Formats: sequence, structure tokens, C-alpha cells
Amino acid sequence: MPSGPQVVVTGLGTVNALAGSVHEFATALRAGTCAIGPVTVFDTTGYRSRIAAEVPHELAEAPSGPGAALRRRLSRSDVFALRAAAEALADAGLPGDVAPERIGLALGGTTGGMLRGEASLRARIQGTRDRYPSAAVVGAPISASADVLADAFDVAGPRLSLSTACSSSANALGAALDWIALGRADVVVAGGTESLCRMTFAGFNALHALSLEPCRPFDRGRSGLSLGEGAAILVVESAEHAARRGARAHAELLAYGNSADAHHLTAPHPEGTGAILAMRRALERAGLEPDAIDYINAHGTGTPLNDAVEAAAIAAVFGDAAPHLAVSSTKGAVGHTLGAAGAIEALATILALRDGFLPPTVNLDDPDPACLLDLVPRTSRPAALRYALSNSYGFGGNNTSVVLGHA
Amino acid sequence: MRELPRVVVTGLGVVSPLGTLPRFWEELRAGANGFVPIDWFDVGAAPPATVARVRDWQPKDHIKPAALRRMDRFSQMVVGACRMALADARLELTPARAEETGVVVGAAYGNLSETEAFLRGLIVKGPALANPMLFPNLVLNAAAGYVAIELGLRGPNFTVCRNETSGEAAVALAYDTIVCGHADVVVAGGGDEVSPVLFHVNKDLGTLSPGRRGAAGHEWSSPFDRDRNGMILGEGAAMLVLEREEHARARGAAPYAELAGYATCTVPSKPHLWPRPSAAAPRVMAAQLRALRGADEIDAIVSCANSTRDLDAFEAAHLAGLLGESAGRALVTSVKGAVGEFGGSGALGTAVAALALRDGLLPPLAALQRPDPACTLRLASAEVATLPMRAALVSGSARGGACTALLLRQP
Amino acid sequence: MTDTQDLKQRLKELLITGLRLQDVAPAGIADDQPIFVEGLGLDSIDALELVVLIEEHFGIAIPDEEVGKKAFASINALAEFIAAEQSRA
Repeated sequence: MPSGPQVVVTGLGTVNALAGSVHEFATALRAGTCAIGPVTVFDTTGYRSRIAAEVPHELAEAPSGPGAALRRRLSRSDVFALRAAAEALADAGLPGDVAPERIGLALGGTTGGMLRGEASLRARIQGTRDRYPSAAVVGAPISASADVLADAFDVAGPRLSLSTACSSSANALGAALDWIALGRADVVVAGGTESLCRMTFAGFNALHALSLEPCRPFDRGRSGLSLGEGAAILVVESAEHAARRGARAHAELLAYGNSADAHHLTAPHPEGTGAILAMRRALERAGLEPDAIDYINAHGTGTPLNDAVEAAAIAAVFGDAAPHLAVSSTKGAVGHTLGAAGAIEALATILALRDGFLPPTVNLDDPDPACLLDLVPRTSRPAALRYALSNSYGFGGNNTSVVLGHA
Repeated sequence: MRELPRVVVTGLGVVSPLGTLPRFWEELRAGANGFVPIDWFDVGAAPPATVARVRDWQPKDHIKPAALRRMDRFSQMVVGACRMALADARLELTPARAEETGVVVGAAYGNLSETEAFLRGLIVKGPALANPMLFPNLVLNAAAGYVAIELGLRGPNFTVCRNETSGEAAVALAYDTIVCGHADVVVAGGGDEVSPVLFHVNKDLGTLSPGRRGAAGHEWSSPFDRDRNGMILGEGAAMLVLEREEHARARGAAPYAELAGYATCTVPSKPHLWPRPSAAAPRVMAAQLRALRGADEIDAIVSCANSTRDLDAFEAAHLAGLLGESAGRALVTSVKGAVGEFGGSGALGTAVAALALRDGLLPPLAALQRPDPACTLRLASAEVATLPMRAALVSGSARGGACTALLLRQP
Repeated sequence: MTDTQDLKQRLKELLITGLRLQDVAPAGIADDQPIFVEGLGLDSIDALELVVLIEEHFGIAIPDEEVGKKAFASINALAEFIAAEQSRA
């Protein structure tokens, strides 16, 4: 069933290194601010790179209001999710009179409560504790943040945590879209959350994938990614349901396409075949030709390989139009937030569509001539946009493209 | 809404503490279990010290040495189960078909043993000596990525995580993926691995059976038993080939069962606590089930009951509410008295439901001695029950309160 | 057995256990066989892992790709590199 009901996004919420609200995020995106700086959430002595896009301390404090009873047990990623969800639900005017069992929850993430889990493991290895503290354990699974949101906001419909590395929360938006099409829920709270932790920092460090300076996606001199953290939550519902309850649509969520590279666990397929397949699947399901797309929010991590392959894949899909197609990466501004990246970047794309601007590729000084696209270097530009694509790629060879449209 | 395409189960692959197929099915019917004392890591002096362990399967028989080299044990079980499922389905993977074939894996924790090894290295030796080779395996979707790589599957590829119902969640998402037209075929299921850290965490949380009364040192898992006192951890992987019925028919496949659909909801629950009985959940899910073919023909139930006091009590009330007047008819079993509890156990339960429909028999609750009088369900207590099997329900509920019931029926 | 032969044997064992080579015995790795070209089927992640293994087991850092490329040319090259670094210390 390729054509489901028209689906819209009626609520937005975020916490990330740039912003504690959607309004702040939109302002910072337009201003081209870079939020990448020294890591303070754990000791980075001995790492090659010591920078990331870290959420300010006051935004990592457990909020008052829903979920406060769980305060002691909340992981850092739970806190981000709670804050973003509270903003998105208020924005959407929910729950209103929507029955709890008609509200679904689809959340992406990759490390859950790992940050605190690492501390407990350290305590156990060093013999300072002989038990795992239950507060650390309870918040550890990747699924914990969805459990927390369901409990805090009385969400009683379908629930899923998706973990496909750096495309996790893009796939959560896909699940939300399908649930609405199948009538499994009237409203889906969808997005992703991720917190910095030693495991991912050490892992990308060991793979020599971390940039020593704030990452510069698509730059000729790019040398790796900068990690980030945060959450973005979107409230998704059918246009009809939104209209019936008088909710405002920020944007339309048209379709998603997913594919597997079936090539290598960490390296993208050299010809970008999986990325091409995901973009084509998304466009086909949206019923759009490539020339309908006005903007692409790229995965654009800043690693030499990702950006080159992604640019080539975009060129393959968009052909002669590619050199003039606006393509930018928000990772130079908010870092690579892994499991939250798909949702944070879908949010950036929605703001671009709604407010009429192209978010810039922050830190891009010297565009790589091999990436022959309009890369919106450094400075945002006003632009009336009708349809846009958001790309997300992850370990495992996972590729997801989401099509969004002006409401 | 127009009628959805039908989905059938055409292949099964199992790597379990009771072996692979067909042995797993024979052992389960015979009432065997896969519980063994832990002797490969330190468990401390006091019980519990038992898990259900996958022992005698040879990854080499299913995965090329070059691919096995960097693949973690959890991924090996998932890839092995997928390969067996596709062979069982006799699905020839032409390039065109491989492009339209997806993968959905459910896991609560995945590769925790290498996660622990990586973190130990980091903590003990410092960041400069953290192992680059281990890190790619630590994402939860490494297993699904390996499946795509090893089998060349380029369709939608998802990994889901939902505590003990990760397997049911994966099968449900695969169903949606097919009926929404994203793929013709999806290999779906789940798995998990027993690891030292997972064992100790559950021990510290008090969810494990501490030993049977009067038999010190022997834990037991006996779902729905009056004297049940906790669960035993298990591991393994079960993957099912799900296929659009037309696609299966066109290639002459012989399905085990039709996957008629599913019902799902969330029971209000504190994160990481077993759900408490709720009046609303069975009502909501019953309404969803009624819309599915075969909902009034449920003869068997593969339940998630795992021998903990709370989940089994919840499940007894939940199923009674869900089935209403027909609750007395359906025969109820659980695999967790044989293979323990793990994130992929619901996928294994789904495979059991498919086998039950094919053979017209349901494996017993072999450990059950004194049924809980508070449970009004018709329990598959004594031995293998042969019965007309029109439809079977796989019921899963987990810590955190997510519930999914998958409905399978005769193809 | 000379010190050099001893070192080469140790390196082969490290390669096998550290990189989890399947069905390969130390005797199956020739001293002059390229480590990273075809041969053992290793990739860039294995190269990074080998850097860590050398640092962990011999206390010798391989500062960049250029040095790594030379040192990882073969077991002979790696043994020479380590011997040279050790004599310098």
C-alpha cells in the first residue's frame, strides 16, 4: 500500500548542544553557530581528540514535571528525551482528548544509559563496589528511554525502540509513518535520544574517526567526525486527525526509504549503492521525482569516506541538477549525535521548510571539489522550500532517507 | 482501509540451548531443558549459578571462516539462524530478490560480552589501547548488518530493542514492513546472549530463581507454577522467513502458517518493572485482535510467562481478559521453562507456534508441578497435547509494560 | 631458536589470537608474506588493531600510517621494526 493518508508533524521538541528548545535551535541554525567544544562529562585524558558537542549542564538536569518521580534513576539520555518530549507534546497540544492507547511511541538510540553503566563497571572492576547499583542498571538498556517516556506521559499505544546505529531515529520516523498508515495509532511520539559516553568516544577514537578540530563536513581538509548528544522528538499524526483537533502542522512527513549496503560493517559501499537505493525508495514512495527536492540535509559526518560517497550517491540520484541542489550537514553545528541524529536532522529540515531558510554547513571553508553540490558553506540563506530529504547512514551498512514537505 | 496483503511463515531457523532444528523441536516436545551450571565465568559462592546455554552448534557449518573471524558470538547465532531459515524456506536469493528482502532483528542487549570486554580494556588499559576491532560489533544492529553482508540482503534492515519482547516486536515490525509494501520477504526474529555482566545485573536485581525450595543449589524455571520463584536466563536466536503470501505462492513455497497480524499496547508500568495487571490492556488488544482472521479460532497460546512471580501473575490475568469466554478452550504453554528468558525468546515462541500449527501439537510446560490456583488458564501441564490447531497466539509482555500478541493460523 | 626466530613466532601467534585468524597456524604464515595484501584477508580496522596489539605487547608506538605501512609489510619487516625500536630504547 504505497499511498497512505497524508501525515503531518504537529509537535517539535529538542535538547542538543546548540539549544534547549526548538526556537533556540532554529535561531542557532540560522546563525551558523558551532557547539563543538571541550568534553567535560567525562575525563578525556589519553584520547587523541578531546572535543564534542556537549549539552550544557543545566539541560542535563532532570526536569520537574512528568517523570520527576523517576529522577534518581534517569540516565542522561532519558533526561534529554523527557525534555524534548515535554516540549513536543505541549507544542502539539497533547494529550488533549486523545486516548492514551491511541498514542504510539517510536524512539531511536544506540547507547541508552551507557554513561552511568561505564561508571558502575569501573567501580566493580576496581573493587569499590561488588554489586551493580540498580539505578544504573535500570536505565542502561537502549529501550529504557522509551519506557521512561511511556511512564511519564501515559503513552499506552504501540511502543518500539529502534537501534540501527546512526540511522536509528530516522527509522523511528519511518515506523511512526507506517503505524499511522496502518491505523495502529492516531498520534505517534517519534524521535531519538543519545548521550555522550566513553564507549562511543573511545571506539571512534580507536578507529581514528574523531576529528581533532570541530568537524568540517564536505571540506577538502575534513579529517573525521565530532560526536554530539541530545534528543529530538516529533509528534506525528494524520493530517485529518490534526485538523479534527485543531493542531497546527509544522511540516508534512511524506515517506521514508531504507536499505542495507550488504557490504561492510563500518565502511560505506564505495559506490554508495545502498544510499542511492534508500533515496530512490523514499522518493518513489513519496510519489516525487528527484527534481521536486529543493534541499537535502545530508548525513555529512565529516569523515573523508562518508562525505565523498554520499556526494557521489546524491549526484547519481539527482543527475545534472546535483551541482545546484542545496545540500548541507548540520553536524558541523551540533556534532554527530548517533542515535538521535536522524531526528535532530529531520527537525532541522522541518525548520528549514517551515521558516524558509537553508541551514548552513558550519565549519565548511574549502568545499571539496569532489563533492560537486551547493553545500551552503558557513552561512544560512533564505529559501522557499517545498520538499526536502534527510539522509541518515549507520554502522551495519544501514541507510535511511526521509522525505519531508512544506505543510 | 483496503485489505492488507497476507503474510505467511515459510522458513524457520533456530539456534537454541536445545539445539537447532529439527532437534530443538524434538527436545522441546520431549520436555527437555537446556539449563547448565555456569562454569565459564565466576558467579560467586551462592546460587543462582545456572543458565540455558547454546553449546553444541558449530558456527563454522553456517558461516565462512573469513566472516567468522570478526563476528561476535551473538551475531554468529543470528546469522546462523537466518541462513537456516532461508534454506528451510528454499528461497533462492537472486540479486533482484535479495534487493527486496529485508531483515528485522530484536535483541534486548545483543553483544554484551564484547561490550564488557571493550569497556574493561578501556578502563584497565586506557583509551590508547581500546580495541578498534571490537567497537563495530558493539552497535545493537551489528548482527542485522552481518546478516545483510553474509546473505547479500539489501532490503529494509531494522534492529529493535524492547526488553523481553524484543523478538515479538521484531516480528511485528517485519509484518508491518511487508504489508506496507517495503519488502516482499523479511527474515525476522531475535536473539540474545548470556554474558557475565547480564547475569550479575539480574542477580543483583533479584529476578533470577535463587534455587528450588528443598533442593539447594538448583534453580528452576517453571512458568505458572504455584511455587515459582524467579527466572533463569537463556540465550539463542530464532529467525523466521516472513513472506507476502502471493510471493510465496508464486514460487510454490509450503508455508508453516499465516501470520494474520498482531495486537499491541503499553501497560502503565514503571520502567524495568514487570507490568501490573491492567483492565484496559486486554480490552484494547482484544479489539485489535478481533479484526484479524482466526481470532475466534485460537486453540493454542505460547505465553511469555517466565517463572517470575509478577510476570506470570500478569500474564494469567492478561490472557484471561484478552480471550474472554474462549480462555478456557485454548491450551497455554511457554518455552521459558526449557530455554530460559532472553530478548529473543518471543521469536523462538513464534517459531514454536508455527511448528505447533504444522504438527498439530503443543509442547508441554514440562517443569510444572503444582499449577498456580490463581491462574485460570488451561495449562499444557502434563505431556504433549495433540489437538486440532486452527490458530495460535504468541503473547509477549516485558519489563516496562510493552505487550504484543502475534496471531498465527493455518495457512 | 634465535631471538629473531623467537620474535617472529611470537608475532605470528599474536596475529592469530589478536586478529582471531581462523584455521591458521603460525607455521602457515610465511615470514615474507604480505600481511595486509590479500594473504590473510585483513583490512584497515585490523591494521588499527595490530597497532594497539604491538603497543600493548611490546610497548612500541606506531605513530602514523607511513610507519605502519612499512612495519606491517611482512612478519620479517615487523620483527625488524620491533628489534630496531627495542635496541633504540
